[in-house]
Amino acid sequence: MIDIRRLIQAVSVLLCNAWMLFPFTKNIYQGKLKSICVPGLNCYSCPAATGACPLGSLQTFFAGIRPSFRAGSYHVGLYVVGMLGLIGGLVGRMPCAWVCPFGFMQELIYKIPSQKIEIPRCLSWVKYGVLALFIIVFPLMIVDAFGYGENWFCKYICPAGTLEAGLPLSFLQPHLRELWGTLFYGKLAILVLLLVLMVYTRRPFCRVLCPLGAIYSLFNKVSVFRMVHYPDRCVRCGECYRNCPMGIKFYEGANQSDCIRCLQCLRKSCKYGAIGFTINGVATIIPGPEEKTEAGSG
Amino acid sequence: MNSRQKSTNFSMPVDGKSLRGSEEVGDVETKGGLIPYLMVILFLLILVAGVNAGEVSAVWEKAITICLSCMGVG
Ligand code: SF4
Ligand code: SF4
Ligand code: SF4
Repeated sequence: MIDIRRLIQAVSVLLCNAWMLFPFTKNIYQGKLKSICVPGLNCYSCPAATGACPLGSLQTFFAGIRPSFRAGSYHVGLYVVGMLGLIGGLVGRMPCAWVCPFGFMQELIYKIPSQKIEIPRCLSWVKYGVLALFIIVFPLMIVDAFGYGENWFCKYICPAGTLEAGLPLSFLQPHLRELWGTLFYGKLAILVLLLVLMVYTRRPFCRVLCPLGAIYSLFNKVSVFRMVHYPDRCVRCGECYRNCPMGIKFYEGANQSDCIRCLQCLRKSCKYGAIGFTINGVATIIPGPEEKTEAGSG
Repeated sequence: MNSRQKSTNFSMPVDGKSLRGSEEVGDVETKGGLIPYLMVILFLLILVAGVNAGEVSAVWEKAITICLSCMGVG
């Protein structure tokens, strides 16, 4: 049977990258849709991209804040902050599971048969450091003589930029290959390392490095949509953990910051009816173990 | 039971019994109240302020230009 989440992920990848004329134009899409930020990580310099990357846009606002004030336009990134906050406030980190192309790719790569390993949980904190420094502090504070900062995350880390923009554009526009240098090879090494890790461990980029996931995760505990655990039903069998794309032990806490609300544990893992969700306190009526078993066997 | 769990958040009747639900984020009355909705409204207003300030076209201008930083070449 078709998995509805997989279907939505695939449709999202196609919608975010629907500009199929790029082999002929040899350039990126430049239509009006590019003024809309997509909710997931998808590089706006990908030749097929139809929308803007929220992280790239946010850094650009921060890096250009001084010149913008001088010019009297006062662009500080409210559009992007408002959009991310609105999504986060409604559903927390759910876009990571349902619409982010880079997250989808990681889940597909993890399906390659191999010995699987677990990332130390403490590494989850790294992404908040990346968010604070590479998205906010460095673009705002480290500026040139004219007051312009740089997009630090894009420039030094982002594997989506290397994969979706750096490589394809270099082949579409061969003169760009002449610009390959230490920076490019450094970013390529990050991408290759992450691609290898994706085979062995669940969503390594999402769990350790992604600042967009870090932003959404701040809303997990206070968003309108929230997960619920029913401890009286839970037998701590660990099935939720085994099937979770983020390696979360749900029975240790609903709404953990890395929970992407994929609902895999609710729909497929827990046979005991110990997992549910609420819409701001209005809980779902969830089936008990008997009904779950019957439904599962059908 | 895990010591981190706060399983007194709410209870609801299921199968004639009362079922405790836990979100493990403190008091459910706070979270079940207005705060999430107020937060959504606040960010919606921030979004509208950004649109009014002309930030949509600023995003567009950036997004239609090949980003050398993203590529790793500039
Ligand atoms: S953490 Fe980042 S890369 Fe992963 S799914 Fe979320 S937005 Fe996408
Ligand atoms: S799968 Fe259900 S019963 Fe098993 S540990 Fe997770 S929440 Fe508890
Ligand atoms: S805890 Fe459940 S909903 Fe959250 S990411 Fe894991 S499987 Fe998905």
